Amino acid sequence: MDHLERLLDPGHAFSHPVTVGLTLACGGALLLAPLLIAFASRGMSDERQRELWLRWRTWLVIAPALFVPVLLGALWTILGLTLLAIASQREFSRMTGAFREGRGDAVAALLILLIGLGALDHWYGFFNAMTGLGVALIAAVELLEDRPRGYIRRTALAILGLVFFGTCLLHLGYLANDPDYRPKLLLVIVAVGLQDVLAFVVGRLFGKRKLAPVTSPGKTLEGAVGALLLTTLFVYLLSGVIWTTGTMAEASSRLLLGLAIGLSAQCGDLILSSIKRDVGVKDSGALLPGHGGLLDRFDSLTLAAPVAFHVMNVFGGFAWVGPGRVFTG
Amino acid sequence: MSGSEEWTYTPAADHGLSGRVRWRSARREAGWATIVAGRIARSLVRRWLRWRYRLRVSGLQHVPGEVPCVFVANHTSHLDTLAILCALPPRIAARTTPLAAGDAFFSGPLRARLAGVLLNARPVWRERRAAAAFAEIRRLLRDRPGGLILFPEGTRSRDGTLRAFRGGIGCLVAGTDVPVVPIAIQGAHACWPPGERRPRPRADLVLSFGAPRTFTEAPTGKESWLRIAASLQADVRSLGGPVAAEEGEESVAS
Repeated sequence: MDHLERLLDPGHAFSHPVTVGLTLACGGALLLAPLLIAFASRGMSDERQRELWLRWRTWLVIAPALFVPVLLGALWTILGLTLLAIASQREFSRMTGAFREGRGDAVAALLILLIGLGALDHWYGFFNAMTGLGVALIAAVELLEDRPRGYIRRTALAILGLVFFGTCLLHLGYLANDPDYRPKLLLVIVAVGLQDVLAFVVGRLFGKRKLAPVTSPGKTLEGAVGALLLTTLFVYLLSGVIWTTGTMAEASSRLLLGLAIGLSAQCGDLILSSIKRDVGVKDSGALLPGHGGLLDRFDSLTLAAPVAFHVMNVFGGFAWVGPGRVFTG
Repeated sequence: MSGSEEWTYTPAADHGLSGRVRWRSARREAGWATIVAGRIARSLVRRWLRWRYRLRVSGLQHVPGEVPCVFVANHTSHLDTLAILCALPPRIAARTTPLAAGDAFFSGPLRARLAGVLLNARPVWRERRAAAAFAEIRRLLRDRPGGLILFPEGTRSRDGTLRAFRGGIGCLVAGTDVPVVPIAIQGAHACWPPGERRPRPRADLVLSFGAPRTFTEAPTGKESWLRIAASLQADVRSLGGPVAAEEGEESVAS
């Protein structure tokens, strides 16, 4: 299987049973959701009901926006994720006010684009280098104004945006360089989404003790532990279908992958809650009606992306083809 | 947090507004992408005005190097705002907002975005609520320093002649050290008079910037405001705008 096929050919979109299963399951869940909402929302206030429906309608856009590029090919996957990363960084900047320091903000966005291009080129050296060079470049351009007051703050905020949404999130993009990336990528995305839903459901059913009352009053310890266990089980079972040989196929590796994804997803969630509390806003933005901003939806993915990538990589879970550098040779 | 200084965060003033609403909001704050796009767009329009309307600019040395500042001009055409913003030094233009816009710029989502990027337009001006609008503009000048473009005649002159300046400009700057730069615009009325659908290059577009004035000592009150308005109108008149407009297209082209 050559690079062109991986990048652009949707012919293999459904060649793996896990891809088929996850796509069908998510599509089915989206179609069945109205029944669930109608059932569960009885007794809720009108406003709360409206919000649930609004949320579902937005999911009808988000879910295809995630699945369709992944199914179409690695090119669309990586471009889509790069766009998501730049939009997330923008939201973070506007939320914290860091966008007023235009230079650092623009450099961070530019470097995220370069990280995305590094992923597209399957050039790990470049992909990696852009973080270190980006940090240096941001620290340097923030000098240009000759204004030491607030230097650490504005530099730190720009760097945090770059590292969170460029370096961390775009590991998902780099993952698309695996010849059989679809089931692996969808496993991470669906597991993270599932963990969000499970934490909510388990918390509603069995929740007693608060997990972090100051950071995020809605979350319960029972919900977090239950979701972690169920997500780990989900990843453990599905990864057994994806990897049948090698270290990654061993039970211990798959358990570790599940735990790592579950834990990092929960941390990602709490990180955004902390950021929002620190700034003093309720939502990170207004792009997704019913959800809030992009970050309100994709916060868990930010941290899970590099964690899942490196766990898979260290256990030989990827089958990189050739020397890489698709476009730069 | 004893002993250490806390960081404070100020989210964008338009935080929580969705795209459609945001571009029509007076609270909109531009990020680097909008600012860069605006600079590129204005430099392209400047070239177009120079080529097609033979735009000439004089007195640019009078433009202050820093904001806040206020620009006042005679108003005869939709070209006026565009011409001033394209003539200003890019750094100042990026921080300058036209106030004459009214709601015309924001009638559709596409037009609102275009006006927002190219002209930094914000719907701060409400014809019917003048008093509240002035309070808002004074606040804007203080909290988020920027340049303002004002047409104190209140509306486009139908025949191209200079009308009396209204007192509003005086109310805005009396007792402040904000510099006011008078601008005379010639040729705009001939190219695009009120009532025509599109502009035509019938005359050269000439912008003359005059020396900035401040009204730090001016008292508050209607009389004082009208005096300020009248003296600024005299400045614009002496820069040549209305004379040329009255004499017609021939003298403008000379």
